[in-house]
Amino acid sequence: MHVQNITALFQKQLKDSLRNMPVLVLFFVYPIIALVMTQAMKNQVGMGTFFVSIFATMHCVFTPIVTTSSIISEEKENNTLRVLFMSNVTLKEYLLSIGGFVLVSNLVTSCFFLLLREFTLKQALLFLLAIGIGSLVSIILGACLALFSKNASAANGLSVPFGMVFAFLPMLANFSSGIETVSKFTFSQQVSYLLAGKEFTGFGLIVLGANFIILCVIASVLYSKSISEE
Amino acid sequence: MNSIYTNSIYMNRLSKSFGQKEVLTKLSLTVLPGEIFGLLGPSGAGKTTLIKILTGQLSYTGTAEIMGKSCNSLDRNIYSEIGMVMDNSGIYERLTCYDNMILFAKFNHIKKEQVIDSLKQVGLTDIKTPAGRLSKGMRQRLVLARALLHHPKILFLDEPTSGLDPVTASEIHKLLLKLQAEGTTIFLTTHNMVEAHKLCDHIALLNEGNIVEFGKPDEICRKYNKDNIISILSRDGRTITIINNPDNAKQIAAYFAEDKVEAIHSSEPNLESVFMSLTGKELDL
Repeated sequence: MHVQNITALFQKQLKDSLRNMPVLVLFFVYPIIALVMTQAMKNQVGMGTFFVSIFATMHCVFTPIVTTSSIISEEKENNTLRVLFMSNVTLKEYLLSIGGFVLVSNLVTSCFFLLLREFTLKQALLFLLAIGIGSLVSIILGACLALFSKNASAANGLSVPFGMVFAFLPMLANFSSGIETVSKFTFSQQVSYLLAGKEFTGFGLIVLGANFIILCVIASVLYSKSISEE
Repeated sequence: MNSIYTNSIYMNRLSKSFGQKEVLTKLSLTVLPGEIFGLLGPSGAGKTTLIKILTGQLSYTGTAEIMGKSCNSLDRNIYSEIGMVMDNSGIYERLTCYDNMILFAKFNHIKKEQVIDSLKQVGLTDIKTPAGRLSKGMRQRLVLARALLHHPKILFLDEPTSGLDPVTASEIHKLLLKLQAEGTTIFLTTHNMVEAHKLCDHIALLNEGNIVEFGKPDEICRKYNKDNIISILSRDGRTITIINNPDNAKQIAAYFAEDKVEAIHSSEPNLESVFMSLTGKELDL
């Protein structure tokens, strides 16, 4: 594995995404909605925490799923991915650079949430840790969808509903204990608990670990399939 | 890769099937270092498939070697020795020409100065333009510049001038001849017989996965020159066709002696008519 290839692809993705409005917007949309909602309902006690945790969950679930899948599938469709492979770049290097870019971008834009309510330093670090965990699992899910899809439109067709299901389940679970019974087994619900200020629990860690492992296994299968097609 | 090899490309009884359909059938040919080799054939003849096989993108049966290495087990390092321009060579449309090139320069540890040189070499000077705004000709130049960036030993070109205006095509031809003079082996596919005749040292005519003729363009044309006719354009505007044999030598000499000859042409078949006579098909399908 060549670190130089990873950093070159990371820089390329940064330049490309700065000119790619749909992807760029995704990184800012939930922090901005959270700002609007917290400002609109700032007189109501507890709403700031509620909105920040809800939109931060969406930010670290929906955004990485859709952006990762969009970036990878666009490269597949435009044939740039094949050109990269014919230039000594491995699929592993590529996925690490794109995943790294989405993770860093998501963490940086997540800092905006820290301005919307009061955090102690420990709370802020735990908040960013939760964002990082949620983003990481979501990136793997987004990569799975892109590897599975034949082209960009197919990937978008899959990633948006997947993103919505995982991002909206925690919000709906606030209003329905029935939904929470199911959603507590998803990584997004556990991340949502952490973003709302709850402590790590053994059950939560098991769910996060299980979700992570299952998605890694799926990604590995799809990765192997892509390698053989490559 | 410093291994010594006799042939840049070698294939013997190479075949390729997609499912039940055989698209390449027992192809055998050799491309020597430093030559321009042209693979001519209509669309669907198997030209792109052959390039994909030679660059390790597709499996096959038989023997295929590039710089002495089997194409079925190419090391990734081979990609620093070859360059490719395919009809669907992707570029990053939102990035500038320069940024497109810099990305690939970094993979190969190439300095920025060389990037500028490569872009100048293909006549791309407006390097800050996003690649998505380039015309087809300019995009092709960018892809070619990218393929040349690491000074490949073998350059694969799949229809490099297809759809380009004559001026751009001519400039690309000049560049290819310059690269050949510098020692680059060029393997190009085309259905443009004028381009093949102008550029190639050797050509192979490919039809439905079979090589139907192989050799130097002039030799192939002479080989199929069965009519052996000379056309004389006389000063009064008439075209006189005479069979080129010793019996007619006096008659031809007489036209010259009487100063009746405006122009004289031998009339060998061109590559397209050779292809048609061999396959019953036209090349530019």
